[in-house]
Amino acid sequence: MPKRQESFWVVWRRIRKNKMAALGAFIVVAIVVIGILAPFISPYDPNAQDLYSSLEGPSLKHPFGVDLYGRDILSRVIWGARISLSISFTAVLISGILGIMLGAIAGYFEGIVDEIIMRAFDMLLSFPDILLAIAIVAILGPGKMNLILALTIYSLPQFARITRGSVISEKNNEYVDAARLVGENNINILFRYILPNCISPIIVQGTMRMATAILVISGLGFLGLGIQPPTPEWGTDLSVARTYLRVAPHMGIFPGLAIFITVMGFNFFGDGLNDALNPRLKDR
Amino acid sequence: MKNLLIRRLLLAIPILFGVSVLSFLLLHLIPGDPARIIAGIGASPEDVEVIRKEFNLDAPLYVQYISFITGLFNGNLKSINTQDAVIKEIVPRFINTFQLSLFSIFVSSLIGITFGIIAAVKRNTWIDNLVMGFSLFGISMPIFWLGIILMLIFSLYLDILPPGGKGGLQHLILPGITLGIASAAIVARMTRASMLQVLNQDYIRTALSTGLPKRKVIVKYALKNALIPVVTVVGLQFGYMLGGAVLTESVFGWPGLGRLIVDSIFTRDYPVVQSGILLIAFVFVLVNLGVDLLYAVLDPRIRRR
Amino acid sequence: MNNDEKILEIKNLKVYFDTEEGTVKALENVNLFLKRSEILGVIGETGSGKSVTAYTITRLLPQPPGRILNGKVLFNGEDLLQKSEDEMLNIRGRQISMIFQEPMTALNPVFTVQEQMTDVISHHEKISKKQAIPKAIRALELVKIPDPELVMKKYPHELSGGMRQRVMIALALSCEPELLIADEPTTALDVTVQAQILALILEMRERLGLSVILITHNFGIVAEICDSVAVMYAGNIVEFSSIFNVFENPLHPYTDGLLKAIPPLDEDVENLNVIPGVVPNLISPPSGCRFHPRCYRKLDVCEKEIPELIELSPGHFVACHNPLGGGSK
Repeated sequence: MPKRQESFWVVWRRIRKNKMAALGAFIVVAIVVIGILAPFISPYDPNAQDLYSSLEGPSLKHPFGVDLYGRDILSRVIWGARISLSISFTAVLISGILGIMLGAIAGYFEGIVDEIIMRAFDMLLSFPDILLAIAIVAILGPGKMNLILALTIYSLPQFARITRGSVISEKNNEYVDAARLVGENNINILFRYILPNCISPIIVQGTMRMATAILVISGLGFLGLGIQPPTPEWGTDLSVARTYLRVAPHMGIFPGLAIFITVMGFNFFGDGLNDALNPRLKDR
Repeated sequence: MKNLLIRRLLLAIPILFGVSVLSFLLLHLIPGDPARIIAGIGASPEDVEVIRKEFNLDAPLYVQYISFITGLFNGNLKSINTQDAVIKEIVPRFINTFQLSLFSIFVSSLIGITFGIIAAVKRNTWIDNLVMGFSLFGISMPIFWLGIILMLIFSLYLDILPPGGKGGLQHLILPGITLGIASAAIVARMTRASMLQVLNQDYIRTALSTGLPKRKVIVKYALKNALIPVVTVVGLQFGYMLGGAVLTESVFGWPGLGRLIVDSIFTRDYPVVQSGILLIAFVFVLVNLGVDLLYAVLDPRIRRR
Repeated sequence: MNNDEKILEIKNLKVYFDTEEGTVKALENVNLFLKRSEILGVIGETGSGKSVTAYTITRLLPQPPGRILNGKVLFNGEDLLQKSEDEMLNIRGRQISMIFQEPMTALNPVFTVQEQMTDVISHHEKISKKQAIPKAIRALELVKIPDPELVMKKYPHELSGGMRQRVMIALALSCEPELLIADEPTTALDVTVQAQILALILEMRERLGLSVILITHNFGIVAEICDSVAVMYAGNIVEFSSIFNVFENPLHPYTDGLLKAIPPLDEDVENLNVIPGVVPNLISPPSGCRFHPRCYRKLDVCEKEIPELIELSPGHFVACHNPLGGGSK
């Protein structure tokens, strides 16, 4: 196996040296842990209503305050992490696997296969930003599975592009010729020899995609097209908060802060990872 | 230059066609009967049949596609809710979105380019770190949340800017900043990277060796080169704004096309949804085309080819 | 020697670079001078410090990472290292100009020749850019560019390599400087164009009384047009004298090795690797004489003591414990 990748430890040391990346990694790990442990650490049932305390601000009992129905916002934010992360991770994983495969095939074979795959993705990329996800959810209707599907289609072209680019630049290396000479078939060459060497930009892309996916999930939720109430979801909760901003600004602050910090964690981590994997780029 | 223009236009045609087909197919890609989907879950079989007739859903797909496109232009395609021609509904809304995006891209490019240059010139100093740190903040900010926070501060507490609606310039400020913050961050990062690369070029050394002041070398000789890739990013960002404005419009009650699309999704007004998406995607492709051409204007090396 | 005829004199120049790997001791006690209307060749391998010397003279050395620790650069008797940046703006381009190796990248790709030339002329002569146009045309005529009015309107990529280098020279000479620093001006050009550019530099010296520092790694070019030559090795001047002395009677073993390895003028060789060994790492340079690990005349003292640049015979300077011809001193 050709091994042009730098060892995991070299990269790890560079990440640790980069303060932003370390901070990002810390945030990501923390949010993931919070999401996984939600049932144990959340102080209240996120859907338990207490109409007597409706719209109350932060207090010792409810550090983030309560919402219109008297639900504890801290608990909803904690459970929101679980929802956001599970959906975005599933979507990024699926779109990653499919995107890598399609991109790798397009890049490796080029020619007509490449043309068809990439032109199709160009088409998808012609729908700017969140609009594609909106269009998909508009037709399929809101819901967890449809949201995952929309996010998958939304992220697919990005993974395919990145993979295709690295496969094209990688496949002219000597080790590929060598593998071909010893009689390896195309599938083996592509997936066992070339792809492992393309992994670093894909990982960076995956991290960045997590950030985007979380933004899109909450954005759709905010528009009422995402996860439907009463499931605790940051964006959906924010859209309710909008109505009560004047009387209960805390409702608008904490779920948004959660989105912001989570997305920032992934972005910092992805940025630092990029620097660590491509040290040459750092000064450019 | 003329050749380039023609070639790019020709290249855009299949993409525009594809985009229109995709928008048209939105309804047909879902498993199930489009007539039933338009009619909604509780519709009676008679209602479904009426809709099937009205939308000509029994005809072959290509016929439906053609009548969708021609109907859009000649006004035969009507909104289910208002019975007005769809084109009459979406165009004024689109103009509002365009206005907001234009204001926003102007402000965010100005901020992004300025800070990008400063960061590049002061590279690896605290100023650079600050600018780059802020830009990561900007990229990570959910824009609807930023909108809410800005509204809280400037409209509810300070009461100096209107919380929403459309009107004079003061109505543009909050939504404009909200929509532009991520772009400003991206443009700043791009400008910095591009500027750093240009500052290392031989021709910058040449310009300095002729005794021209550093400020002039940076502002004139480096910037024009550095801006070439930035223009692409600004153009792309402008395109994204047209689509992404929906969240901002929703926060500030800005009567743009994005909001119309979302509202129409809730009222199952599919002709408006499809046409609105088509219009935005169309303009997005055209904006990208414009960026390509602008690129050629800025870079004489491309112009010649 | 009469001081008045020296247009440029560098004394004990010491320049370090701070890098992540450590401090690069790029120039160590560099001494040389250039007489008015002469052409001085500075020759050495990549990394010997010849370009650093040039950029230090014009104060275009990026600082940081560069650091000037010591030394003087006397230009017409005034120390350039003591000048303010504002004063340097009036010296660069007007009194000291530079031309570079790669004419493809040395001119700004997005501005026309006219824009780039009139900018410089109007800056120095304090005239409008319109008034600068005839001066720019005259400069292009001076360097024998046919149809200068047409060339003025062109972008660099529309010109051939030789033409671009002529434009570069015209730009450098447009404000009639006294000193031209040419950093490998012909390396990127093909042989016939190379000869034309060298002939042009010679002619400019005749017509304008220009003094020239020619930086090169090619002894053939030095032989062609230089009056004197300074040989650099690993941040030191190892030998410095008239072209005649150096070619007929080289004193330093390194010079000797270079001369034996002269490539024909029509064959541009990047590495002068006939001398065994490699250029040392200047973060931790060899003790004593930096050349000793590669030297066939090495003595014990060479590893311990740094040889000083001394005038072994009139006008012939060498930094060596065991120079050729003269035997051990």
